[in-house]
Amino acid sequence: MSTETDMDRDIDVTRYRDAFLEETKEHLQTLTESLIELENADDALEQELLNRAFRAAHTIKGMSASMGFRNMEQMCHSLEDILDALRNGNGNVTPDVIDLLLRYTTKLEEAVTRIEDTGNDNGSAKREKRGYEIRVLLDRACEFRGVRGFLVLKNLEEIGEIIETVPSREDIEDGRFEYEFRVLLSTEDGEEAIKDALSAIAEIKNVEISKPNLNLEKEQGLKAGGDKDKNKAKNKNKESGMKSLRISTDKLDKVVNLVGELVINKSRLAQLGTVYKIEELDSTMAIVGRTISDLQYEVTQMRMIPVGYVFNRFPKLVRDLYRTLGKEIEFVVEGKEIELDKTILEEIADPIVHLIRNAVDHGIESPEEREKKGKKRKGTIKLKAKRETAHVIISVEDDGRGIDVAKLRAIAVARGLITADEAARLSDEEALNLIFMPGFSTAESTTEISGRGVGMDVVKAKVEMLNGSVEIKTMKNEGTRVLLKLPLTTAIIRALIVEVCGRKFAIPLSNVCEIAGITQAEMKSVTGKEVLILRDSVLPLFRLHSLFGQKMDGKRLVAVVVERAEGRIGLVVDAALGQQEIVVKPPGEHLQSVLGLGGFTITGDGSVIPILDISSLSLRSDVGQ
Amino acid sequence: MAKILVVDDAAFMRLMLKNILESNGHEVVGEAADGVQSLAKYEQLKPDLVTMDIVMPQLDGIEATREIIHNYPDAKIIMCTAVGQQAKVLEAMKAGAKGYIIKPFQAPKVVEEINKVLKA
Repeated sequence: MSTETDMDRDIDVTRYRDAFLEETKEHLQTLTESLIELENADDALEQELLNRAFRAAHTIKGMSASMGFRNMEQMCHSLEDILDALRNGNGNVTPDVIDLLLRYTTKLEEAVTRIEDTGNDNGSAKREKRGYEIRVLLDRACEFRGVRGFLVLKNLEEIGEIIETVPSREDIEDGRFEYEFRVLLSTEDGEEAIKDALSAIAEIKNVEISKPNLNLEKEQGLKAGGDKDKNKAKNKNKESGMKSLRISTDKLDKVVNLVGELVINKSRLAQLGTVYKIEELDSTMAIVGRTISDLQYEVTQMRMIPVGYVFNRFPKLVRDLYRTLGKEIEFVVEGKEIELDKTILEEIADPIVHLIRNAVDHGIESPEEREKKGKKRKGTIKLKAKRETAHVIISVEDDGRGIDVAKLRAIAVARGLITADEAARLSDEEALNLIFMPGFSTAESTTEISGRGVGMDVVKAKVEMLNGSVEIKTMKNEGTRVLLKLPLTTAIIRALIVEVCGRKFAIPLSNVCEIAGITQAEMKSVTGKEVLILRDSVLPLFRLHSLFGQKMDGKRLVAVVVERAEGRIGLVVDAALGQQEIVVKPPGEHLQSVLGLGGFTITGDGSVIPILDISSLSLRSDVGQ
Repeated sequence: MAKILVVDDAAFMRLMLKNILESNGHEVVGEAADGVQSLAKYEQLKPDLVTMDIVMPQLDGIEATREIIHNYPDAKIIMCTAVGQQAKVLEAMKAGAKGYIIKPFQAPKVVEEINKVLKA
């Protein structure tokens, strides 16, 4: 009989586990936030925050107890004791006490992760083998997919046993798959270990690890497992009458893509109506057009999540950092509710962490130094998100010492990045941009916090990869502000359409700084390279004509000035035709390695236009054509 | 910052790679122009990481990799390759190399690969 009750309990626990985890995470967030706010609260607010924290801890305790997670229950109990004592005036809320309390929340967070990974909140629980379905998506830039695939399988084998792969192992090693493959791995280690094993391999764009499958049978392969999950999900929906549904982003991407096709075909249809003068078709198309743009809007919205999802973890990060460094900092977050495409938000999280670390570590001065300068002891760092037409601007702002531009010049020269002569010629604004050069770091001594090898160049590269841009402003002793301008979505972009040798190309508008009419006579040659002198600056030129092995004739040309990581260059084209919203189609497999090609778009009349990838194009001009 | 041994029979390629590595905070502690030299240099320098060209006189990069891994199973070796050499690169991975970079080298790609492999 006892086995039966055990089984009953087992079923109960798994059935409620997801709900438990979700709710616990919310309460933990409240708890952490209240504790961080406590540090700066006045007496009245302090009481309220203590109450709020206590309630959260109490709720988590109750839920953990009913789920049988004794470890979590006990931690919450101790937390309650401390909070209760503070509430009753037995002891003061000092930074050290808050540190202690936050250590508990960290432990609780770890327990939650453990439950997600292993189904148990106890770290020392007996180790069981579990099956994980791992989806690995390789970077499109990956040259030898088979080799990356082999490395993935090899590293996974070091932590467990590979039960099955889709496609077959042989196909993976020979690169016969479309950037994505799946592995069913049986291992005693958790999700973290899998992530660790794969973190050592470059060109992996994304890894998705499914929830562990508790009793893994060999014959229960990937496909069967998937079906079972689906059934489970279906039953669950029926039971609780769920109002929301989890959909994988892959599926959503497919819908986005299909809507893109619709947009393209809509304009083709509309054109037919105009060409053949069918009025009824015109009016119907107007309605279809509206529906399609609504659909496009809705689909784009589905991918949007509030930036708060990522921003919420920063207050604790900032606090941990400045406590370690002995600084005093107020961290302000604004615009948490602003929404951004999920993929963009995920990609941008690391760069933001880097900017925040920089601000805490290099930006804000020590309290003593600030006092000497006549500033408040406590520095301020602001993380803001705001919507601006088709962009979201995320800014990290500090009121610290600012960036010493003279020092930037000196370092760039010392590193051999530029000559002393070049350095002297740079305007302050240009010199500030030196910080984006690869391998540049202004920290005299790299501390544990910054200087982990991720520089501003990586931030810039990441943002540009997302078709965004970075701007940096600084004032000595007043502070630094870094602005990240990001598109709302990556699937549809605004582009400049240009013509070269009778062919059309699209250049993402986010890369374009300006367009200038030029004549052949204005193009000068400096040390064997063609340049254009545009107002005060000298721009290296890249002739798109050379792509077709053609020479230009003497007529008027157009230089499109584009921004790339290493600086501005001018692309010489025959004409700029105008700007347009385009749907980005990634290049097919056989065209992946074509330098300078970022993808294609299809216009209303059905013609295919290549989209230029500015970063790899410029590289080609470096190599010499 | 890691100590790196650069192995390539072309002095030009060694120089290119050295520039990329050093401007990204790594130290090139030695260079070798063929597989045989690379074994001796590895013994002597015990670098954190080796970049290994595949096609070289004397002993090719794959054999050299096999040899180094045999003596030092934890050695971190990254292959330098041209496009279209998938089969060779795969063979090198089976011999124990941990990653690859493609000529002509792109600094960000090289840095990503090296940092990933060093992290392991």
